[in-house]
Amino acid sequence: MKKKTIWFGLGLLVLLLAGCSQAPTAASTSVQPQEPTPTAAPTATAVAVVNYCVECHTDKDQLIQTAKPEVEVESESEGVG
Amino acid sequence: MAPLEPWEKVFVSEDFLTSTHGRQSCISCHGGVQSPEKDEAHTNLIADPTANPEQQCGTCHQEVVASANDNLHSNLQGYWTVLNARSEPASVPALEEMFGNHCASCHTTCGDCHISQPGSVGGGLLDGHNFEKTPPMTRTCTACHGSRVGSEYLGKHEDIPGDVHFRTGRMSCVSCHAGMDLHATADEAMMDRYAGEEMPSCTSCHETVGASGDPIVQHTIHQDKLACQVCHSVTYTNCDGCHVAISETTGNPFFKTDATYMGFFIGLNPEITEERPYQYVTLRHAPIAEDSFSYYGDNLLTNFNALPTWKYATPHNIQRKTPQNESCQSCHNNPDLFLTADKVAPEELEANQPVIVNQLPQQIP
Repeated sequence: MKKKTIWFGLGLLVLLLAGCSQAPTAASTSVQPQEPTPTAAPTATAVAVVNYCVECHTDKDQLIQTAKPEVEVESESEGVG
Repeated sequence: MAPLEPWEKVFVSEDFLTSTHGRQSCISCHGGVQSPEKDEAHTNLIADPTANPEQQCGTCHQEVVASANDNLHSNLQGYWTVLNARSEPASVPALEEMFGNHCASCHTTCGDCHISQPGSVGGGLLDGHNFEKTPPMTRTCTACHGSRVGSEYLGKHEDIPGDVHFRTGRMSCVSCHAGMDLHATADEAMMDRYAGEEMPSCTSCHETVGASGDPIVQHTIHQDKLACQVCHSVTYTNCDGCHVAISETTGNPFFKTDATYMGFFIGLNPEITEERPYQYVTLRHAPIAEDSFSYYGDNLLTNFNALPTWKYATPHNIQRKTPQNESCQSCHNNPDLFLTADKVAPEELEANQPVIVNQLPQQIP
């Protein structure tokens, strides 16, 4: 009986050691070479297209400065048109 | 409204730029060039691209543009109908010069109603270049049709109420004059807006007038004898003797009318038709005289008497109750209401024979 116990203990120990030896390695911590961060595709320098018509005609102050003053001509018309 | 400041007339609002029309390039419609210098930018500028509707508006609005050349607002044919009738071919070149100086500015483009105020009130964008599907009445319609129709409709004459459709219904011009009627002119009316079917017609809305079961017996009695205005309009503007010339000091065209006065005149319908069977209509004196255009030549209106100077008119000051519809006696045999010979200038008697009332409607016993 005593022998059986010793053999059982040894077997258990072997199993434990074997288990330890086959234990999965810790999750790989190896650093995978990362994909290089894609850099922005080289683009042409953005050229602002100025719409001069809109720029001026939406600018009240500019219009006030540049609007041609209207010359009021006194009408010679008389009566209802 | 007060005239727009010069900058206001050309100020473009930001919201226009995101609208359907505003997404077009400015130059594609207006010409000019991209430049920060104003004068250079405005080289070959087209201020009103819609003066060429086929090219600009017709790209999308083909149906509307298709009738533009036949539209009285655009071609002003009504003027030439009367000028041709009162003149001879030899006078046409002189009349064309007169017309170009004094009348052609009334020509209306798509933009004059939908984008800007008409030139006669100083022009300028209506709303930062936004396109107005329905033109604003007082800034477009009555800006041109102001001295007679506009003033009558809006009640601008002292002691004379505005039209009931405006006073109580706040109806604008387009409530009756639908867009399709304004964009196109019916075939019969291409020479004269009073020819052919009444468009609009009062009975389009007032369908029961004169029909069986109409509780107002006067409608049934008079329906083919009287134009609606005979009973339902009140005193309106008349003008005499418009004369035109070019100013010696400024070089600008100008006009002078001999007289403007209020009055109400029932006369004979000069052209009874199936669509307008009325015996009596309201008449308005047109501001024409035999020598209206004498600045451009003598005796240009050699056939002056070919048309009445008292013209079939539809005053726009409709009232439910009027002095003449108070009772039978207020109209029948009332000389004050009718255009009798004594109210016509002697030199115009011949021209107005078709419309002068020689025998008043008999007194109702």
